[in-house]
Amino acid sequence: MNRGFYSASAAMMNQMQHFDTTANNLANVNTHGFKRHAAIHHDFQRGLLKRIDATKSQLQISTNGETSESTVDRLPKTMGVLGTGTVLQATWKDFSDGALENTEAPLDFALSGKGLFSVKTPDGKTLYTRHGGFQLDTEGFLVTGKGYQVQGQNGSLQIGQSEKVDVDAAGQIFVNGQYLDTLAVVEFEQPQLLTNMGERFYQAPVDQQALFATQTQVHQRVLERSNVDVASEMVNMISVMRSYQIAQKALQSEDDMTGKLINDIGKTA
Amino acid sequence: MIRALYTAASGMKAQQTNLDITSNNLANVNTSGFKAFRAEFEDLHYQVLRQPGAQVASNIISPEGTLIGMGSTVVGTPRFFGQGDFQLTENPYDLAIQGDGFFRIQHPNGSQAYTRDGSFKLDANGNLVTSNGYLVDPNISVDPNASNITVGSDGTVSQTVNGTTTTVGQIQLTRFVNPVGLESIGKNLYRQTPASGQEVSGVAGTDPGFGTIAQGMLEMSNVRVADEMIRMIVSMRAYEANSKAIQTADEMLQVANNAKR
Repeated sequence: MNRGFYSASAAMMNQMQHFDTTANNLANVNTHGFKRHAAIHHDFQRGLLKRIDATKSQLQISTNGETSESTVDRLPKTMGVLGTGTVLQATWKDFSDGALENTEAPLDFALSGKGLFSVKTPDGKTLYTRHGGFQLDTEGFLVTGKGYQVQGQNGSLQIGQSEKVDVDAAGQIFVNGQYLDTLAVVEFEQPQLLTNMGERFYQAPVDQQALFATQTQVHQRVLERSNVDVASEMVNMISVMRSYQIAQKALQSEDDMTGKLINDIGKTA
Repeated sequence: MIRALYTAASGMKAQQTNLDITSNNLANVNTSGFKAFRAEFEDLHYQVLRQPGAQVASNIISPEGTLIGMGSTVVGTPRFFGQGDFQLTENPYDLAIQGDGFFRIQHPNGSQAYTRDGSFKLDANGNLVTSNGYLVDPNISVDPNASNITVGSDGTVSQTVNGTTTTVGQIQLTRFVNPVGLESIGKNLYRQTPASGQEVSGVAGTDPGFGTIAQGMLEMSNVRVADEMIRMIVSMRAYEANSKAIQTADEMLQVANNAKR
């Protein structure tokens, strides 16, 4: 009896976490370079149900009509499996491309494909981002809005006080027509292993090697919009809401049954 | 659940700011020399329920983690310093810069300010001033009897008095490595900050990147109304979507409360 309570409440808690993910997607619907998260559920540990009374007395009828009782050893009878609810297995990062928005600013970049920009924090850590709204700092380095230096294939990019910065689809940077370096656009074999750091940055685990992306195109004067689709998040929200209600109803039915068991059985008429 | 409520609220707050920026851009659609703002958002930090790559069994690592985001916030409002369109006014004191330079202005508090708005006037003493009466730096003083004032594309100001033409000074332009880092102080003026870098002075037309000066023209605002309208629609819809998330969160809490009868 009590199992049902916990299965239903597990479902409710699970839908809540799913909903948290949806809410975060919706909150970031206008965040440039944001990649949506999808919640993945799986069923919780299933239990094998068996009858407890492994041994039982058996009534035997002999050919001459006499009955005798004997104890027979039997293997516990399997009744089948019973699920015990559901858990949020993971939040899956959807790295599909967002729409491109023309900004006309020469230091705004967007990527199409699997690649990520590499940036270096002041304490020497390398982080990755899909947001290419860059600026120049006072020393003329190409930096993110947080001041982290954008990395080229040969290190930080000092563009200086220049008039004209052109970047082609392969990420090659030309300052006043002179080749400077190529943007370090990298990809990972298992991008799902990246951790979101907030502020639109990802951090890679130590054992994941950043490889220069070959299939990714760089666009200049555009920014990539968030890849959150409001319509599908709304549908998500409705389905989460309804699943939540269904789980609650299951919980209430369970409660009703328990109530009956306690109050009605054994009641004398 | 409470998480989702605050997450959605952060989204609404961010979109509100987006609309504030858009309204300010639209209010300045006819302000000469105005440069449009843009709201930039970022995701807030994540609650890591399970680290991606965590050990889930003796030799199995989880291929993806469980990360729950906490919403979004406005990270900055960078200006877009693209060239605005030119408007022919034929007023000899209207100057427009074609290029990246700024006019340097002497702020009454003694510091320097910078502007793209070249709608200058003469004050009672014949000094070239902004519409607010702030002197151009270095000061350009014109003879009250001068009949013809010409400003060359390099900023040289010359006047004609009784048939003789003399040069009275040169308007200098300044540049910044990172103009986005300039602080806007209203009245179409900017102030230098550590983010913008030190000003670099130069001569229009000769030093590269400063641009040239056009007389009798004004640079109009670079706000594009169509873009702003679209931004307004987008921020409005995003705001709505987030409010729906709050509503749903509320309904779910209600369902949870009704579980106990």
